[in-house]
Amino acid sequence: MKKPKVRELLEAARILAAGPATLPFPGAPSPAPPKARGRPIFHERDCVGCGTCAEVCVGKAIDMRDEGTVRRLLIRYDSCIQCGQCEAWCITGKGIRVEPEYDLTTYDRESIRDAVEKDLVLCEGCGAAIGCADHLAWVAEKLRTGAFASPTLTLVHLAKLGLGRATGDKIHLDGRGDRMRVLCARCRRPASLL
Amino acid sequence: MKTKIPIGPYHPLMEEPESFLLDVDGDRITGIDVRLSYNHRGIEKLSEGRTFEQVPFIVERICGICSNSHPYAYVLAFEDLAGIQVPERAQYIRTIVAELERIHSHFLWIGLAGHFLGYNTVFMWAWKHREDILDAFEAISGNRQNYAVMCPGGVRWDIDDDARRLIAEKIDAIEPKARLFLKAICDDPVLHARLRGVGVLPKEDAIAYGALGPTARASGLAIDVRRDHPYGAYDRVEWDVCVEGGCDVLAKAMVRARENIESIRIIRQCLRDLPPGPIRVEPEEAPAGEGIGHVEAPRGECFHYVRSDGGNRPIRHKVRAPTFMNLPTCQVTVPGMTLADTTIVLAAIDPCYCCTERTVVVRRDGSRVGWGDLVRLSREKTERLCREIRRPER
Amino acid sequence: MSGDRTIARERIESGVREGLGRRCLALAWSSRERLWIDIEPASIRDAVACMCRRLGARLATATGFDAADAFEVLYHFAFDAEGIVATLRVRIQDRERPEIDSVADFLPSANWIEREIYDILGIRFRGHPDPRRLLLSDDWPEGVHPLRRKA
Repeated sequence: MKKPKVRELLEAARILAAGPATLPFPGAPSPAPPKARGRPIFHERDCVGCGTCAEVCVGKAIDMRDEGTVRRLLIRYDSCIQCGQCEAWCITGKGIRVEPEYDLTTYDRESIRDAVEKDLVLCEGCGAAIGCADHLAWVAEKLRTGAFASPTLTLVHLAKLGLGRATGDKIHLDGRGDRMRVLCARCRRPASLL
Repeated sequence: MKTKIPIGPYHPLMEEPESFLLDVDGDRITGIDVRLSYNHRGIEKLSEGRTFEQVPFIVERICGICSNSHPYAYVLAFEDLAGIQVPERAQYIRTIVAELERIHSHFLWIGLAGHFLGYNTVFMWAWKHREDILDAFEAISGNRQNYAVMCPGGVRWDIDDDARRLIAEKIDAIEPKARLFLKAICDDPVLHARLRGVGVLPKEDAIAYGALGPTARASGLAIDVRRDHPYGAYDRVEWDVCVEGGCDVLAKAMVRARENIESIRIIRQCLRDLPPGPIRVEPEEAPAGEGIGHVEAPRGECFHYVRSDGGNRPIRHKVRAPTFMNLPTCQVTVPGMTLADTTIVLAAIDPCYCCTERTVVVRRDGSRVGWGDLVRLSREKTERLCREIRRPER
Repeated sequence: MSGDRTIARERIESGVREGLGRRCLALAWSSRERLWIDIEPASIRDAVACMCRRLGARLATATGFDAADAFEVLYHFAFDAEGIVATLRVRIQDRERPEIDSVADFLPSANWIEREIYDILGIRFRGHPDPRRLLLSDDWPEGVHPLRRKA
């Protein structure tokens, strides 16, 4: 105050004793608390490639693209508003996680990206993507015995158990290839025999 | 002789652009006109392209200072439309966050007011102590601004015991600072000389212009959405509406300083009474219809209207920030003032720079006078008054 | 508390019905605190005067909406003493030249509100004391109103 009173002088003394409050960031690190919402990172092992994060992303920062036998999810941090909706809605809860890393400044826009790739299961008839193998396995596990209602889910689940391979356009059950077929939801080629 | 002084829209010293046109006669302002639009971002249109769940993230970015008020009003509008009852615990958490926001916003204003008057120490102190509140927000919500706490049906994050302790600590730390500022506003002779009788908004004009928040309450108009249209936990805790009769900038400062103390009271009671239970109900689909939600933002009533046709996106989202109603009152408060008082009178309504827009550049007799010069004039007046007060025999 | 609220509701509803008379086309409560009243556009000045002067409400804001078959303007009034928000709805059928009487001459708080609605929807407020552009930028083309359905 222009005409300082004792109360203001005491406050000034307190502040002088405490030292400067401003941190010399970026000269010195200034870590955020663990709950701080910084950038979201994909975790490949827990991601099932369902694309929910891309669907709910408010800033439309997550792009989902199917290329051949692979689905690619790409997040652009220059569009990300760090809202955390991707993590909140991730169906496994761990496929994309927000970290407290907040300092993403860069001169190269292309460097602030993160991506994950997951194998797709394709229709052996028309080649359309049915879904990511991990996602179908996740669904099968959730449905438990209900999964047997869908030949596709059953085959993917059995493949996950190590009884075959389920990527690309063929699901091979070792030794049973002649008895099982994948049914495509889009082109509806028949028919699966169990 | 009359001069027209255009102020705006861009100036390196001002945060955001806006344009005022001042009619000046000698040293007195005789008229003022406001021109907006430099920050218009089309938020209402953007909302129509987002789901109801996504809209809070858009509207919280309307304003950085009252980043919580817009989502709060929006979710209330949606809950009005869909007939959703929010769990008790969520109501209390919403109230705590809203009051923490009020404190940080008023501290920010106190700092700015000090800056315009020439008390840079006040600016530094206010913004330094405000950091305590921002740290509390970061610990609860993960972000210092844009807390993203509100969601349709409740709140996104809980306040666990650690968070409760932290908030209580920060409140305890900030209370003496809030009282310090309140006392200074009450008894500092230079502040009184600068602010008393300046920027007067008579009560009839406050009503006619639909003034809101501290701007209205400083003119004796006792309206406060928290009491009049209760929401959150405001009707379950004890607190007082802060009204002053002075109608001038000093009264507006008093209202804000007193509201800090009331906010502290509210937060302490909410922390004490925080009920157990869920923090969110999952909203069902919204029926076709309309909803209205309004909250008392730090600057006044923030009003949202949402309309749905039964889909998952709003077909109309109307946003009305409080500064939209408060800014036109400058047509009453500024004429008659000197140039030196312009900055503080305009700042007294606490214009949300983002909510409505801002600023200023002055031209006088052909030469340019910038916002920086207006601030300098303001500070020089403070210096002059200080000298006069120290030597009252003059 | 809720007893007071019920009395307040009844008082506001009867005040509105008495004040508006035949001008009130429809009146309905969507919840305890939300009242919706339909009137003809021609009645707007009398209706607003009734709400503000006679009944003591505060004009909070007004929303414009392009409803495809008409333009709607909703005037939202807050009854702060009673804790109720009452909305007056008008439907302007003329889509070629949508117009309605301004109330800004006797209600300064409506001034910017009406200017904003003109900018985004192109509804002209007859008799507005200051019908200038408010929100759209200076180089925004005339006649293009962003919240119209076609835009």
